[in-house]
Amino acid sequence: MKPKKIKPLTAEEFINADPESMEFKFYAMSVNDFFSFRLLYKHYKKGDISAKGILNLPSLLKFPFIIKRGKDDKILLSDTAQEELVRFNICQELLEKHSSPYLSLAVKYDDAFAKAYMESKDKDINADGDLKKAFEGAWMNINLTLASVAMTDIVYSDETLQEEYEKEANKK
Amino acid sequence: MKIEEQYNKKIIAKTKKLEALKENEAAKILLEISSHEVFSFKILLILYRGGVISAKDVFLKNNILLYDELILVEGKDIKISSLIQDSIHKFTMFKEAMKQNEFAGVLLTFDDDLATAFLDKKLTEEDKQEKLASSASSFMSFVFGSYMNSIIENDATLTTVARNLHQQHEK
Repeated sequence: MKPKKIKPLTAEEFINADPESMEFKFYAMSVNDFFSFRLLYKHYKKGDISAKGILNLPSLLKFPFIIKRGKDDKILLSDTAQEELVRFNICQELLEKHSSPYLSLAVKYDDAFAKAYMESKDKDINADGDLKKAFEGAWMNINLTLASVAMTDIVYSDETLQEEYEKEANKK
Repeated sequence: MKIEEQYNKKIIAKTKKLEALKENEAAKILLEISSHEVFSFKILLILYRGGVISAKDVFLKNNILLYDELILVEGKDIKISSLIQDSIHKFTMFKEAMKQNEFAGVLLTFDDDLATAFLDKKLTEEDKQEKLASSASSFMSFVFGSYMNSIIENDATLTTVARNLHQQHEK
């Protein structure tokens, strides 16, 4: 018996889907570099995709291990893709409905906070408890990382500073 | 005595003097700024670019309290160098913004153009919102780039492939 040929999924099919459908939301995620990169990186770690594949930032829609067409033409997402989609939707909602870019940023960048936020029932970061602690930790980490990246960026744009920085780093 | 020990001794002495002036607003702000790594670094950068301190000084002790050129404590008075006045305004504004909107506060720390625009009181509320939106968008791209780079740098294969792709692109 011949294997059934899978009809490839096209971007148009996603764009024209109902905005509330998973197809449409997944397409929105696939054009977001950050989430696209995260998902491809996870599949790279599993051995599904090469290093070159991830660095070319290809469209998620291309990969059968991420997205398949099931019975009745319904699309099926890999478990990893479903997890990322949930996180992506939370970030979008926080950005659009509640105008909370800093909360969205914390969900986006801090894995521990994202997990705590997704598991929390009331999602109130101001209520004393584990979620509040996780948010404070996430926000501190984000600030420290950004500060260090911003400073390193400046240092590397100046040859003398770069030399001194490397000397100090080697001493440590 | 090693240079670093001398620096430490000097900084403790200066911090004690400033702490003794607890009612002095300038002293309070300077102590706060000196513990804020990004602002402290930016002030040292201004001094380095102005030829006041060496590149080594920027890294040896990243603390503005060290420098007599910046802060002179005379009795109950504090004289602050005009070189860092602008940074103090930016820091005060950053703290105000943090109280109202944490994200706007973060943007002001990183985006010098945005901070300068906000210091210019001629901006209308609409202009401010527009500048914040544009700064937020550049900030997110910057954050995304940093996130990707840190993941790539932690993986030897990805680093090598990224380097090769970059070289191919250069050709």
